[in-house]
Amino acid sequence: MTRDFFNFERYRPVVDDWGAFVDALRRPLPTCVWTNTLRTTPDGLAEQMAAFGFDLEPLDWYPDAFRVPADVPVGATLPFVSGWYQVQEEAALLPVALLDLRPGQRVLDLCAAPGNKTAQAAVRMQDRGLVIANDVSEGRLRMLPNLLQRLGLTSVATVASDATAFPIAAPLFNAVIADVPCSCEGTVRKHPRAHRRAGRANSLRLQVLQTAILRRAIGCCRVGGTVVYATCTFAPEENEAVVDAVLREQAGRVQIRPVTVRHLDTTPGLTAWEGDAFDPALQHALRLWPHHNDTGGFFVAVLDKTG
Amino acid sequence: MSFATHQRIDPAPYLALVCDRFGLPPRLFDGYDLYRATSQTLYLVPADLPVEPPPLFAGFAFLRDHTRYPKLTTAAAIKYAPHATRNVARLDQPEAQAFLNRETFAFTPEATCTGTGFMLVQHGALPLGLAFYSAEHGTVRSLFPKAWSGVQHDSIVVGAV
Repeated sequence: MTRDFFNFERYRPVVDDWGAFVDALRRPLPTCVWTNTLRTTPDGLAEQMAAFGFDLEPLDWYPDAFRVPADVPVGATLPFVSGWYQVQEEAALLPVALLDLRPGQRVLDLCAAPGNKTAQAAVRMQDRGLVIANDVSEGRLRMLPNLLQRLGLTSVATVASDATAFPIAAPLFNAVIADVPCSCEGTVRKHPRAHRRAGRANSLRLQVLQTAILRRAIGCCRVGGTVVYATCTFAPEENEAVVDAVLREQAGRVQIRPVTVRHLDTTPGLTAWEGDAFDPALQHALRLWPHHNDTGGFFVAVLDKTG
Repeated sequence: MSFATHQRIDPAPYLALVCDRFGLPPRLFDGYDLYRATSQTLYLVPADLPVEPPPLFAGFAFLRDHTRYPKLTTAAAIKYAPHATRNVARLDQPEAQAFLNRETFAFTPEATCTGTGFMLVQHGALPLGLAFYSAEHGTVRSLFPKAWSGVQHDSIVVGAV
């Protein structure tokens, strides 16, 4: 094993098949695309790509999306130029997929750059309503208009502000996406050096920022609305511990919604880690391990604001 | 460029021009305002865009008017081509490759062509952008941007449709 991934050794107690986990981390990540349903249907995209000789494999759990063979130049096909699809990591589809988005709603993507989830949300709302793409980095936000232009999206506005202090006076949003900055351990198949910065100390440093962002996300969400908290890391300090802390602060005004995703192999969130016990409702969060679905690693919790 | 510097303008003459040339239904633009973002570019922006917090960027680059005739952006040409009822250039595979290579080539338009001017380009079901048709010369000049969306024209895959 596993000199390559020695920083992940601490997860051995919560990984069901350590060998399969490490093997998955060594394989390249499959490419995934989702259909711009403003332009075509999933069947239409598959047929069009097949006409160019590219066979797409539908995702069982997300009908708009496909896995793409590694030799397909996904950024240089005519359907790409025509805005029929967007390339996005499969695991990263999950936060928006778990939101019940409808046309006309207002959605806030608090840490939006480079904007794939923003675009995914706007398409799911049929480009009707408003998606605010916020990011602290004005430079990273400047990439977003090209994506929106290609997909033909008009319902997105960008805001450059600190996510922990997003500047609105009243909770406006039906849904808030808090896909927070994290140690990115789950992206190691795409970024092989990601595991080098992994570790408890790094995660605890990030936890402060993540907790503040989730707190603000809840502040921006209407009563009756939904916040989805997500990371691409395995670290419980950045996942369950953050949600647990905010649940305690909110004292019953926010609840974790039990979610399941058909045809996607997930494991429950942890309710204890290294001597800390978390709210038992954390079992309703979802963990995505790379070896279960051949994806990156991911964590997501869906929070309903009830009071 | 920041949305705070954009100037709202009367959309009527611009939308009339576009709808007339391409036979687009005016209802496509219901619910949008038109803003001048730069000296050359006009943006469609949802009319109900909130003013707080102030956006850095909003809307959709729609039209450039620094040329003799206001010209749709490539993104707008692709977005609205499926709704067009006239002045659509339906290209076969060699013509599509020539379009992506930004060439000028001989072209015989359909009966719905109203004469010299802009054409929306289709290749099978795929809208590809904007071209300029010259009735005098019987040619189409590609207006496909060289580096649109970061894709180089010579790496784009063209196959049978």
